[in-house]
Order: sequence, then C-alpha cells, then structure tokens
Amino acid sequence: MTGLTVDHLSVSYGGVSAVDDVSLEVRPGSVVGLVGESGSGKSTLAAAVVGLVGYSGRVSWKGELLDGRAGRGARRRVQLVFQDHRSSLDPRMTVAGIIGEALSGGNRDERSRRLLDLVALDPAVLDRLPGSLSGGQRQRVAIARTLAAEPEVLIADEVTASLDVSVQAVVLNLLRDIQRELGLTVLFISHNLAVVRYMSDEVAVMYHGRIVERGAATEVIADPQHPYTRTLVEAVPQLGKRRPTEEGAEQLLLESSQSPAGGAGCPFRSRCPVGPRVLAGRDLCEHEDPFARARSRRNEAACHFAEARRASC
Amino acid sequence: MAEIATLSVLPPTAPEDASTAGGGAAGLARFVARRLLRLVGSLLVLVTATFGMIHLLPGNPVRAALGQDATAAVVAARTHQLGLDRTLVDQYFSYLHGVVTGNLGVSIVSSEPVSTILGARIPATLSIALPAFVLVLLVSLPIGLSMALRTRHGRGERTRVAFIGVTGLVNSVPDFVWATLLSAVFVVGLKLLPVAGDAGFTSHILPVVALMLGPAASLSRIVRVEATKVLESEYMQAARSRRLPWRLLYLRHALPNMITASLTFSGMILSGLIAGTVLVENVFAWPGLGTEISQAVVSKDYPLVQGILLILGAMVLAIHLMVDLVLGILDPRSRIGES
Amino acid sequence: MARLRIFVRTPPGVAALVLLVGLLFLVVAAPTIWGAGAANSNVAISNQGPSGAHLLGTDALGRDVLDRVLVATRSSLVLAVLATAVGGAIGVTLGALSAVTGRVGARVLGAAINVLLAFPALLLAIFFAVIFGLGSVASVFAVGASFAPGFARLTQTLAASIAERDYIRAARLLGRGRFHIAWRHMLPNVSEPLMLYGTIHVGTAILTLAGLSFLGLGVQPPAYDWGQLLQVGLSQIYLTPAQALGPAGAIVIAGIACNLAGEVLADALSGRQRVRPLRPVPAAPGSRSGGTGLLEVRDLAIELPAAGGVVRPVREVSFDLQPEERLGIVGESGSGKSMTALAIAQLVGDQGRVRADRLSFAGRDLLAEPAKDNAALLGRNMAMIFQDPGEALNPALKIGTQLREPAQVHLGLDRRAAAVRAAASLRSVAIPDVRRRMRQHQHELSGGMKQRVCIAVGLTGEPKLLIADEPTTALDVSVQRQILRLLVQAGEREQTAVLLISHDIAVVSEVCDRILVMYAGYAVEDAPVEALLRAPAHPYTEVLLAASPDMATERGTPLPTLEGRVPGPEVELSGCYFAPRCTYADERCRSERPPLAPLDATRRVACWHPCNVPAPAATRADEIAASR
Repeated sequence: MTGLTVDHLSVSYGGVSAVDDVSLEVRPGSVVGLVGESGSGKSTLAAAVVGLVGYSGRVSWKGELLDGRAGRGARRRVQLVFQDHRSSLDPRMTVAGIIGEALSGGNRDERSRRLLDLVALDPAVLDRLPGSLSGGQRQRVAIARTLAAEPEVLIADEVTASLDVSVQAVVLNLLRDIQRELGLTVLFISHNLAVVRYMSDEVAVMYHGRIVERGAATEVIADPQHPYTRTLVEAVPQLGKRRPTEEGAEQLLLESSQSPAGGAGCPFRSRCPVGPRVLAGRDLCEHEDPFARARSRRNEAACHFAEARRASC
Repeated sequence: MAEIATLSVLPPTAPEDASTAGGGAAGLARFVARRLLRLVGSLLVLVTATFGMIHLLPGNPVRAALGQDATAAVVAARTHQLGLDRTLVDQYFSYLHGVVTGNLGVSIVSSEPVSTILGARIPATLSIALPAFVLVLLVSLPIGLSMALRTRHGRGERTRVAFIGVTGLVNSVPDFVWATLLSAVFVVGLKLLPVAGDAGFTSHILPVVALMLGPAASLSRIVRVEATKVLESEYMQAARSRRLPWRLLYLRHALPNMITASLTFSGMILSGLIAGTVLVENVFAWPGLGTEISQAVVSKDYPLVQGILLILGAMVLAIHLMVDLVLGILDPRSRIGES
Repeated sequence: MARLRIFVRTPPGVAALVLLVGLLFLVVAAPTIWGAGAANSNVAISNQGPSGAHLLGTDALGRDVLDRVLVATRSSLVLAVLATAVGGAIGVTLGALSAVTGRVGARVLGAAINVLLAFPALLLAIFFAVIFGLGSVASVFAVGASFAPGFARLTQTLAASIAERDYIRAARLLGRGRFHIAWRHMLPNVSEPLMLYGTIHVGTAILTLAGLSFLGLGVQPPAYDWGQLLQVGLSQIYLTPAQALGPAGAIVIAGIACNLAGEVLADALSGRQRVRPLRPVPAAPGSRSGGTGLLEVRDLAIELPAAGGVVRPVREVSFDLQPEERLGIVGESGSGKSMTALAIAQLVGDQGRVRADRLSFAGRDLLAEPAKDNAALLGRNMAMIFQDPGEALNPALKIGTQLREPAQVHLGLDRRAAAVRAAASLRSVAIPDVRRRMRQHQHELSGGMKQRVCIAVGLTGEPKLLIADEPTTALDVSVQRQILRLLVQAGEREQTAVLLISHDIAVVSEVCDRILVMYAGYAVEDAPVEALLRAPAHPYTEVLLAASPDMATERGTPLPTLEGRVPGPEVELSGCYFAPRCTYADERCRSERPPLAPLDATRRVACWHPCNVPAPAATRADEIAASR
C-alpha cells in the first residue's frame, strides 16, 4: 500500500528554484525525517505538500491526489505543525476558539478538553490568549489544533527550533507518543540531525532544493554515502567529543547560503571535499549531474563516487 | 551574493564572489539611473493627473470660468482657443508636448500665458521655501541628535518629557495658524516687522519661521527616535565593548547611521513644506504660487490651476529625489531596495 | 479595554480627555446655547475690539466672534470626522482590493499608491477641491480623497504582514474559506492599528479642512468653520486682532487635543511602559582580596529597572577563570548567562545595577574604579563576540576601518601598522583576498564570514580574554563547526582565555575545559567537562545533559523532561530556585537556598541533595525511602 507519495515535485519563486524535482515516499504509520541547512528548501517542500504554495509534480496520499481539485476532506487529512509558535496562533483568539475552529461537528467543548488532555495541557488554558502561554504550551496548543482536524499525515516543520532544550524534550516525547497512539504518518523536518535521527525511521537529506541522500535513519547516520551528509553528520555537536583543531582534508569552509555550482555537473562539486577540486581524475563531476542516475536507484546518494567509495572501503 | 570558496586546502579561486549589492561607482550609477526612471514615471502620473483634472470637472469648464453672463459664442470661441473641442487623445499629446516645451496654455481670466505668470511667481515661493528647507535640516538634526544623546538608555527622563511636550505643542499648531499668531505678535503687536507682501529681507522672516516650525518639530522627533535606535543597536554595543574613545564612538560609529536613518524618513516632512507655502503665502499676501493658486481655483482659471499644481508637484518630487540621492551616496544599502 | 485606563491615570491622558470632552460638549451644545449670538448681526457695532459684552469683539456685521468660534466647533469637527471616514473607507477598500486582486493588480495599485503618497495631503486636497468644487460636502470628499492613499498603504502593509502569519496558513489548511479567514483572523488583527491611524487622522483632518476653508476653497459663506472665520478675521488683523486670534486659538486647542490623544492612545496600544532608571551604586573596593585568576567573579548580581519595580536577571554568580582556560557558561533562556557576560565586560549600561563582592580582571577590581578608568585595560585585553554578526558590525563603516580601530586606539599603532595588523588577523580567521574584504561593508559578506570578521576584530587588540555570547546560534551547523574551531585556534595561538556562552551543552563540551551551569540567575554547578559529563551533581545539569537527543540517544526511550518553567527575573523565592521543578526537592530545598559549595577539589554545586556522589546519594536514597 502506498502512503504519502511526492513525485517529481518542484517549486520556484521568481525563476529561482527552491525545490528541484524531489521524489519522496512516506509509508503509512512511519516517520521520515527531512534534514537540511537553511535555504535547503525543506520548509518550502513542506508547504508544497500541504498545498500552501504552488508546485509542479504530484503529491498523493494512499493513491489519492492532493492537488487543488482534491476535496476539503482529503486536504484536511494532511496537516502541518508550524515552526514559530509565536505566529502560528491568532493572538486575538482564546485557546478554545483556536481549537474549536479546527473541529468539525458538535460537542466541541468536550472534544477540545480531550485534545488538551492528549497534549498534556490543563483544560484551564482554554480561556486564555496565546500571549499568556509559554513557548512550550503554545506549541502544544498548535499540535492540539492540528490533531483536531483528525489528520492521517502530520508534517512537523522545525517544531522545536524555537524552544529551549527541556521544553523541546517535552514536545518530542509528545509527538512520538501521539504518532504511535494514533498511527500517524509523519514527515519530520529539522535542521538538527540528532533530533531527526531520534524521531525518524528513515532520513532524507536536502541540499539546495534536492534530496541528495535517503535511507534508513540508522544506516544513513552510521555510514553516510554522500559527502554532504557526511559533513552534516560530522558537524553535529556531541557531548564531550573533543575535536582536533587543525583542519582536516574533509573540512568544508563553505556555507549553505552559497548558491550551488552552475552548469551541467554536480551542484555540490564546488564545496565537495572528495570532488574534482580536491582529487584528480574526478572530471565526471564537472560534466554529469549525478541526480539523473540517482533517481533510478532507491536509498542511494546522489553522488558519482558514493558507490566507488563504498567499494573501496 | 555568493561567497568565495575558501577550502584551506585549495587556492581561493572560483566561483567569483558576486558582491554587487550596489557597491562601487557602477552600483551608484545604476541606482541613479533607476531612481531617475522612477522620477519620469511619477512625473508622467503628475502630468496625466493635472491633464485629467479639467476633464473630470462636471459641466463645461469654460462656461464655469466665464460665468453665466458670457454668450454662447464667446464660450465656444474660448473653448476652441483652449483646444477643448479636440479629441481627448489629441489634447493629451498636445498637453504633453506643451509641458515639455514650457507652453502651459493661457489663463482664462487674464489671457496671459500661464508660463509667464508662473515665471513671475516661482522665485517668490522659492525664496521662502528654500530657506525653510535648509533651516528645518539645520535645526532638527542637531536638536534631535543631542536629545537622543541626553535621553539615551532611559536617562534624562525630564528632558525627554519636556522635548516631547514642546515638539508636540509646536507640531499641533498648523503653519497658517503659526503665521497668524506670529504676525499678530511681531507685526500688529510689537510692530517689529513689515506688514504683508515682499518688502525685502525682513519680510521673509515670518513666512520662513511659520513654514519651518512644524516640520522642524516633527523632524527633530524622528531624528531623536532614529538616533536612539542607533545608540541601542548591537553594533554600538559591540563598539562600546571595544572601548573606543567618545569621539570615535559617536562621530564615526553612530553619526553616519543616525543621519541616514533620519533622512530616510525626512522626505515626507520636507516635501510637506511645499504644501505649507500655499497657506503661509496667503497669510502674508506673499506674491508666490500659493496666493495665485487659491485665487485661480476660486475664479476657476483652470489652465492656471493646472500649471501651478504641476509646478508644486514637481517641486515635491524634486525634494524626494534629492533625499533619495543623498541617501544613496551616504548609505550603499539604501540603493538595494530601489529596484 | 484596560489599556485605555491610561487616559485617567497619566497627566497627558487626563489633559487629552478633558480637552476632548470639552470639544464634544461644544459640538453637541454650542449651536443651541450660542447660536443666536453667532447669527445676530448688528451693523452698529461692526468690527469692534474685545469688550465685556463681546469677549473677542465683533465681526464686520457686528456678530459676536466668540459665539461664532464656539458654534463653528460643530462644523469643524463633524466635517473632519466625516472626511476621515470617507478617506478611511476609500483607502481601506483600495488596500483590501490589492490583497484580493492578483499579483499584477496588487503591483499596479501599490505603485499608484506610492506615487500619490509622495504628495502632501493639502496639495491632493486642493487638486480634488478643483474637481469636486467648493463648499462643505465637496471639501469633505476632497480631504477624504487626499487621505485615502495613506489608509490604502497601511491596509496593504498590515494585510500583507498578517497574510504571511502561520495562523492564517493554519486556517487555510483546515479548509476554511477566504471569507471566514478575512472575518475571523484578518479583520480583528488589522482593525486596531487602522482605528488608531484613523483617530490620529481626525486631528490632521481638522487642520487640513481649516486650511482649505482658510484658502477659500472649503466651507463657503454663509456657512462657516474655523478656517473660514480665520480667513475673514485675518483681513481685519490690524484693526481687531481678536477676530483672527479667536479662530486661531480654537484650531490650536483642537490640534493639541487630537495630538495629545493620539500620542496617549498610541502609547496605550503599544503597551510601552516607561521605567525609572536605577540609581547607580558608587564604586567601592571589593570586600575580598584577589586570587590569581585572570577573571574573578564573586557573588555577582544584576538588577534592572522594570515596570513593577526591579527585576534580577542575575542573582548570584561566582567563578574564576585562569589564563588560557576555556570556560563555558550553559543555561536556557532566562538563566542570566548573557547578562553575566555583559556585566563582566562592563556593558550593562547605566539603567541597570551591577553588584559583586569582587569582579576583577587581570588583577584589577573593575567595580572599584569608575568605568572609564578601566577602558584602556578592557579595550586592550578583553574582546567580545556577539550572537548575530550581522548586527554586531557597523553597516556604515568598511570592514577595514572596524578592524584597524582596536589596534590604533589601544595599541597606539599608526594607520599603516594597524592596517597590517588588521590584515594579519583577517588572514588568521581564514578569510582570503584580504585587501578586497577590508574595503567592503558588512552587507557584502555572508553570515559565517561576518562572524569570522567579528572574531578578527577581537584579535586585533591583544586579548587575554575572548567572551563569545552564543557565537554560532544564528549560523548553520557546518559553519558552526568552523567558527568554534577558529575560537579554539585563536585561544591557543594568542594565549587567550575563552568564555563561551551557549544554550547548547554539547557545543560547550566540545570546546571548553570547564562548564558553569546557570539557572534562574544562579550558578548551580561548576565542574571540569569530563567530570560534569560523567557524573553531573546538580539535578538540573542531569536533565540538561539528557534532554537533548544526540547521535547516541536510544531511539525508543522517552527523553527526560522538566515540568513548569524557569522562574522569571521578577520572582522571589526563599529556597532553591530549581526546587519547584526538581524531583528530589524536599522541605529544606523549598525554604533554604543552597550555596554554590565545593563538592571536591575541582567541582562546586549549589544543591542540598547532589546526584551521582557517593555519600549524599545514600542520604537522598534514605530520604526517598523515608518519604514513601
């Protein structure tokens, strides 16, 4: 059975490509993590999947297309939890109003209380305005509102990025419990690879609008194939891990804000620590885009030398 | 904006940094060109509006101007003389042509060419508008800046309240009322200054003061607020953390930012001076565009009204242009938002 | 609305209220009371000066000027309100239209509004007065039309900013229609600023209408308003100045009333509150003698003025920093870690109050001297790096200027020598093409590049201490790695101590030798990195270490969490500030505050029941057993 299927999805703003031909599958009841740095297009992808921005390509849930012609019911089944809890709740509506707006049918008060219970909030907050709640409480209200739509698919876009660590833990635990309890299908988006690893069954890595690598979470992190993924994994701060201060050959002194290399070759080649600028004989990267080949494979990295590296290990 | 590749194991080569962002002389030239293009657009809107005005009037404007006593033949003759019987498109292009060549038509009332009347009136208006313009800047920048210094970080609460109070009061009184009050005191009461009209230097004093008081008050408020934001900015905190001496801290780090931030908001206020001249001139019977336009509107001398509105509008646009160009030179960042 | 109580609480509020009520009274009652006097003409007493019978004299027809001024309040104010309403209606419609029409329509409308906004309202009003004609009704529409561009622009800006909010997007995802969203979400959030703008514009409308009538283009005789009375009065100003001064005074009073009310209203709605600055504490020598540390902080506390009195973001912090040591200060938001850094750098500013038993740097007691006497030492030997490099570099100055300054000011180098030193420090932070970079401004650099420049600026002096406050929080992880490495390299090369402040204990643990954990303005634990990671002694540290998943966290198990939230800087507790959230807290914790006391030779903790230590652990176990 197919779950959430994203097929050749592209989004561009004024001629600049934000998401470039992304295909992705989230099996029903599973959690796929999407990781990338700022400007990688992960939030745009989320907005496109739920239909908040226009796109080319196809998005479907259990075989049913989720485009403009899909019914309201079908669209409601895919919901997004927003990143910024300060702007995701209307400052002039009480919590009761916010959750009530998302509920359809009667008995809203009773059901609102059940939802608050699910996100571990006191029903007393129903009468309060978002401004009087803490960040963690607001994010839990936002999750309760999302659940009120009775979604089957949940897209969580950087839901803990603006929270302190102890509050982040509360929200992560909550999302995980709800996912299991309700059997939700989740696309979990974050810049924090450690959080993505903790939450997800599978991981997809985005770089400049493209998915450069995907696979089972444990495998991708234990043995990243794409040089970009490897950089990300190595960059994750780890408790007590002292690092050599001299720069290794694989250190990238480039930033994700830089536009990718143009032309026909691999867009990552100008940053690549194992690419043609470092190693001789890798002219292939200058001429051929590895994505064309990667698309035919699954759970693979979009890199000409990923397999070569694996073979040489 | 891309960043240079700086892999330490590599020579720093391509991709070349495309740090355009309006930097350098070429950036300034591009900015000036874009800004002039926008000016042309605004001027076109202005010309179209003054042209359209006469056609939006209910009834026949010539009949309205000449009154009910004029015979139909006279009205028809004047209508033909003004070209109002031609097609709209035809009229529009001949009006455009006239504006470009300085031919703004003929006054219905006096039959004099509008450009002649304007030529006689413009110097009088500029002779009070320009000094007021300069004085507003000369007065409000130092006042606003020194107030920002004295009230920084919650200091000088009393000074702040007094400043807000005084500027609020000055600003609540419109320029023509200032003009009335000033002439009641200095002309009628103290008999220090000449009666109305242009009778040399001393008769400029009151119109200029009446014109500048309100704008100076509101601009010095804006300068204080913007300068305070600069003083509380993180880069000033960073400069303080480097223990720079007073001179560098305020003159080098703060002042340029304060001035550009203040200028950004000053276009509206300075261009408001042009509207102010219309009222103030009427108080002092000043022989400028302002007294002319109110008479022309009342006597329904539409070609003259068109001409004066065109000139006043162009003056407003010129002030905006000037402010933007000064900003563009002082602050390269201000050029970016122009595209 | 509670916020409007400001109208009866503050002197300007009361003044505005009194003036407005007075004007309102005149609008309602003046024509009834003084209407007769204003209309009765008596040529026998024309153009008289002020007298007992006619306080402001009479006009050319012998009518009482004061009566006429009072009666004219109604027409002046009512026309102004109508004009504002007309302008608001047209403007809001235009603005809303541009939100509804497509991208092209919005752009065209936006450009048109832009051009119109360039012209002063009075010029537009004259333009429209020509079209609409003279008289009261025409001038209402003329002034209204001249206000429309302002309203349109505000509506456009507000609608655009709110349309981007996530709650609007959330409502769309729930399948709510455009009308529902506009009614339930857009309107309530747009209406308040629009109402404020409209209220303030009534004042502008009074003045513009008066101006128009004064020019003879507004209200026409026999009807009259203040502007028209002023025009008539002005012609007699040499004979009877009171005829002009009467209406002028009325316009002044109305202008002041509206301006005052607008300011009070804007203050109330913005929720701005003025706070009284604290009186500075006089410089006093430290009560304890100094040790050998580069930096010594004893019982540091910071008080800041707040609306309700005084808040204490830093309550009690003590630590030492040895030369070339790297110390990390870790805490969540509200822990006071950034304020601590500012206090060390003497940058709290005069509105706050810094107290400490001792705050010394390089052997000098900073609080014993007036701040300006420490400037040379701090400028030369202490450098600070801030969270957002884009904000920390001056946008108006070239990178080179900012780099040279510390060397010129504090090392006494001339311009050329300082430039050489600046270039060297830029190179040391791995920035290529140094000469070109020195000529650039900060907006021409990327985020990571800016932060490297900030570090370079810090290195151009001769720093013995680098304070870095969340230097990588605004940057991507791969850039974070580089910046941290640079900090460590710089510290080792220049023999500089580093104080790294971060919310991320993992980041700090990779870079620092020792970690100080802060909570609610207290230093709660201070230990070498290895010891802290192996056996955290404070219950808060224990949670902090485990709460954030890392690459080794067991994926199936829930993360440890804390209930409640950090006590704010306004909260006063007699016991331990962590006790309300602590699973181990008992009566003693709630009533008696634990001091930051040595646990062993290298560790200090502020807890009555530290974890992971043999003896107290047994005690705690006993207590838990006893409590069951």
